[in-house]
Amino acid sequence: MNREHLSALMDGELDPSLETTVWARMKDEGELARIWNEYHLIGDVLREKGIGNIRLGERVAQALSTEPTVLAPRRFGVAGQPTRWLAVAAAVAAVAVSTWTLQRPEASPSQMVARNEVPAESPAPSPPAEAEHYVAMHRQWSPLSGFQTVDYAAGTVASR
Amino acid sequence: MNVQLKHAVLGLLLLPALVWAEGPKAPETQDDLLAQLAKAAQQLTYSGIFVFQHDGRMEASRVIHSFDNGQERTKIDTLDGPPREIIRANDEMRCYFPDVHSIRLEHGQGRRYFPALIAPPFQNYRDNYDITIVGVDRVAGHDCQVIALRPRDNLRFAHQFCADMPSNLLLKEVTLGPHGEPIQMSVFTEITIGTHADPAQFKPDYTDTADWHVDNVPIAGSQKEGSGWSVANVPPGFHKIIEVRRPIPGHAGGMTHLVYSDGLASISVFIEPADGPPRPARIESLRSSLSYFSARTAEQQITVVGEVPLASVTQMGQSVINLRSSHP
Repeated sequence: MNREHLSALMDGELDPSLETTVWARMKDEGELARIWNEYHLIGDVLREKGIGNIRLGERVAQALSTEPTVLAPRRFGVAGQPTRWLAVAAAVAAVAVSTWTLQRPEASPSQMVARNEVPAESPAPSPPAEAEHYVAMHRQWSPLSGFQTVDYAAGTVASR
Repeated sequence: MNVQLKHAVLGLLLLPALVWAEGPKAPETQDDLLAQLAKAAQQLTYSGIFVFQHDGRMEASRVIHSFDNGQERTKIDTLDGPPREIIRANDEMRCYFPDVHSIRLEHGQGRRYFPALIAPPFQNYRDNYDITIVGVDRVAGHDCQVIALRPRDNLRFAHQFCADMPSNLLLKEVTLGPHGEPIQMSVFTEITIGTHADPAQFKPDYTDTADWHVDNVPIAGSQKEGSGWSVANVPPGFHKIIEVRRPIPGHAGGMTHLVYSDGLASISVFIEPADGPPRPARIESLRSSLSYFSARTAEQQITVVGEVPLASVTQMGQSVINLRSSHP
C-alpha cells in the first residue's frame, strides 16, 4: 500500500480487486487518509469553481500583462528570493490556466491576455475547453452522471 | 431477384439476429429482473454512502431513501467538493447550492440518480442490451449478483450492475468502455437496507433560505410545441426526454437543448445561432467517458455531448434538422 495505490484509486485505474483493501486501510491509517485528503485538496484547488468568484484569473492576467518580463525577477525588487518567487508564479500561472479552461467559451479580453502569456498553447481554441460548458449542461440530465458534478452556473434555464 | 425471393433471403439473413436477440434468458425473466431492480430502488428504505468515480475524479455522497404509504423521499448530500443537497419528495425535487445561495426546483419524473438507474418501460433495455446474470460479488459488505448489460450495437457502452441479494437494490454500476475497461462507476461503500427512516431526516440542512434565488425548472415534456429542432438519425432506442431553451447573452432566440436517452445513457444536442463561417465537425473523446461533436453550419452551431461512443454523437450531430423552417 502506497501513494501510487491512492493515486490510482483517484484516477480510476486501480485494480478493482484491490479497492476494498485500499478503502479499509484508509479507514484505519491516519497517514493514508491524510494523503488522500491532500490529493483531493490539490484537485479541488485546481478545479474549484469558487476561484472564479474572487476573480483570481483576471487579477493574475492583469498582473502578467503589466509585468511582461516574468523571467527577470530581480527587476521587481524581490532580490534574495528569486527562486521562490518563480515557483509561486508558476503555481499561480498553473491555477490561472486551469481556471481559464473551466470558464465559459466567451472569454473576456483580460482572460485572452492570460492565454497569450502562455506560449505552449496553440492559437486555435481547444475543443475540450469549449466543451466544459456543454458538459456541465449535459450532466444535469444524465442519470449516469453524479449529482456532485452538476454546476449551478449551468443550471439556469429560461422559460419553456 | 423477384420480391418473394428477396423476402426469403432477407428472412434467412435476419434469422440468426432474431435468435441471438432472444438471448440466453427468456424475455419475461429479464423483464422481471429489471422490474425488481426498479421496484427495489423506489420502494426500499435504505441509507448509506456511495462514491461516483469518473474522469480521474472521485466524489462521495450520503443518501437516505424511504417509501412510506406511497410517499417516496430521497435526500442526497455531497461529502466532498462544493456542498450540494437534493431533497426529493415524490415528483418534486429541490437542489440546494449553498455556496451561491440558490435552489433549483424541478417537477416531474425526468431525472434519476444512482441507485435508481432503471425505470419503466423495460422493453427499451431489452431491445438494446443483452441482459444476463453473470455471477456473484460482494459490495459494501453485501452479497450481490452481477448483471451484465451488453449493447446490441456499437452505439452505446456496456454496463455492469451488482444488485443486493435478495433485495435487488443496486449497489454498484460500472460503465465499460469499448475495450471492456471501466470508464465510470457508482458504488456504495456502506449501506443499510430496510431500517425505518424518520421523516425528520428528510428535512433540508439549509433552512434560512428566504432570500435565496429559486430556479423553477419547467416540467419535462410539458411544452406542447417545441422549437422544431430534431435529430433525424437517432441511434436505436434513444428517445427525446426533454427540450429546454437556454438564454444566450446577446441572442434573442437563445439555445435549444435536446436530451435523448435509451434508459441508461443520455445524449445532449445543443443548437444555437452561430456567427462566422461554417466549420467542419470536430469529434473527440473528452477525458474517458464522454464523446463530443461540434460543427458549424451557415447559421447554427451544433454541439453534441453524451456518455456514448463517438459514432453515436457523430450520427446525431450530422442529422440535426428543423421541422418547422427552412433551416438546414
